[in-house]
Amino acid sequence: MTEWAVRLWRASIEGLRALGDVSLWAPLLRASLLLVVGVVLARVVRRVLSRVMYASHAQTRVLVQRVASWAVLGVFVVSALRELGFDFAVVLGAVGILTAAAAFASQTSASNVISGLFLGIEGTVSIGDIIRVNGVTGEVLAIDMLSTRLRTFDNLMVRIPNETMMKADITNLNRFPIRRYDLQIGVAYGSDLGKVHAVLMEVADANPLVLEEPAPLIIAQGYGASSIDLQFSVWARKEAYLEVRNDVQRQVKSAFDRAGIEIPFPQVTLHAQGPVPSAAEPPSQGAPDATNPDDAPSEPSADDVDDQDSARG
Amino acid sequence: MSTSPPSWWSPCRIAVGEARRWTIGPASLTAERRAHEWRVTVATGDDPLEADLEVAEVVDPAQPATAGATTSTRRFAFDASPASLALEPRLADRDVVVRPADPLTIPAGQTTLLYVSTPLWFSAATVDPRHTLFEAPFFRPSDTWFGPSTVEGELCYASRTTGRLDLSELPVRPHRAITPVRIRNRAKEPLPLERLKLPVGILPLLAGPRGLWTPQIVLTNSEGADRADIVVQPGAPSEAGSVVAIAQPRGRPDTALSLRTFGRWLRQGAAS
Repeated sequence: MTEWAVRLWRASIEGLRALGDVSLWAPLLRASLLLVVGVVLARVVRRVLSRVMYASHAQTRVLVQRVASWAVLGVFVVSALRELGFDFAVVLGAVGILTAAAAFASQTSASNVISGLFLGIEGTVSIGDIIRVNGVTGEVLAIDMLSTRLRTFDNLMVRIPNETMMKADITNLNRFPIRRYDLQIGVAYGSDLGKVHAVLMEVADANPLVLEEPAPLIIAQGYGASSIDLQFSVWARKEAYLEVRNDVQRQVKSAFDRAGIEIPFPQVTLHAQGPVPSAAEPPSQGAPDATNPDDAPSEPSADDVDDQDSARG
Repeated sequence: MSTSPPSWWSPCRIAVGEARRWTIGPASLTAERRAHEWRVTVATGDDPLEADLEVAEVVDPAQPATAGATTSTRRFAFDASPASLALEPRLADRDVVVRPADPLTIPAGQTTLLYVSTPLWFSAATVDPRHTLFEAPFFRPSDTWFGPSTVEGELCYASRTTGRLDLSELPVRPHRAITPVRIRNRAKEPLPLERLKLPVGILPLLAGPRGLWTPQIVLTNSEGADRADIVVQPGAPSEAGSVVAIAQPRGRPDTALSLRTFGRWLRQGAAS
């Protein structure tokens, strides 16, 4: 026990002496200082670039900021490692083996990183854009190394791997300054199409958010089962698109109601075969009894079912 | 002898508890002064070409301006409400696209003078101390797109009126300004004038006995150029009579510009 205590005491004394040796502390201090300076300088570079590039596109600005700050930090980390006595010749030799191992282990990550770079270069999507990808619609919050983050309109955050973004069909909803809204609408067969045309044009004319040029369009889509089908297309600036979409639907309905133009809906008319007994009269002799399963009329044939719209009924 | 229309842009002193109403074209503005508050209600009618003009009538604020009009009320709080209010006319905050009354073609080497009227905005401001309360159009014009395609172009307002070759055909309205536009076709081909974009942001506003005007602008269409040279003539147009400047240009008042001004695009491109 005494011998063990003496050994411990001696080891402590030697440790304290080693701590007092400046030749051991100095490289560690220098390396730490380099790391601190590197972190601070990287942040400064990031902020300076943010101010200098305030007029640039957000996506470009973020990309340049990241690359520049990583480069600065990388230089200082390498310098700090050299201060600690790392031999980079050995490190570089090991890099080949590590790279092969890492390549197998991080295929997906590498693919995402490369896809992210191509997304940035291609410029199809930028921060702030409203996009639709794989059925998800939202605002692009960030295009990071591995993934793209979207904020949906119900305020959910969706993370989409960059590789998926590269493979998917992306619709950018606000790339161009104006958008077209197409309202599919059907009018009764008895409607005066000239009047329908005039009423729709009046709706477009009365709404200041609907662009006068490109002019509103009315396209005949064909004769439907219950209605004459039309497409009413109006243009709006992208910021007013949603408002125009809501306004136009409401205003078309109101204008049609005022003008007596009917928007029909499918109706089915059943033609019953034979006399239908009233509830007050008992079934006569020989007439089929509807309550008797054996006398119930058979299912109507296809010829008895007729699709009609209410306008013609 | 012609009488000048009343100038609706002069400041008006309003006592605490009093309300006054300006009816200018399709819009009616009711301003009520309270001890610590200005309450301003704007009612807009349906007809953008209405030419009514009533200036600062004393009214009961509870009485609606126009039946069926769209109204909006704004309130502004002060330590002590300033005593005077002024409505200041402004030209539109975007360029305005105008069409001639009928399709018009200017043959090669010819010059024509077209009179166009554009919609005005107003800015409501207290006078002493000066605080701009808000700015609004008398009647919100329709948006329109001016450019060679749906991808390239500029968002503008569409004028409800058409350009006229004869000034007497253009009614004077208190909420619109008249701009004489001289168009020179220096190209070898005739210039079909379907749409004309007026850069109202570079024009000052002038008031005269025949209403509100801007200086004349001269557009020159040259051979092979897709843009027209624009020169804003210094001084007032002779047709306007004796005028005073009542509003400075919104943008930089350059006197010489080159802009896309004539439009004959888009009919085919947007239809697909």
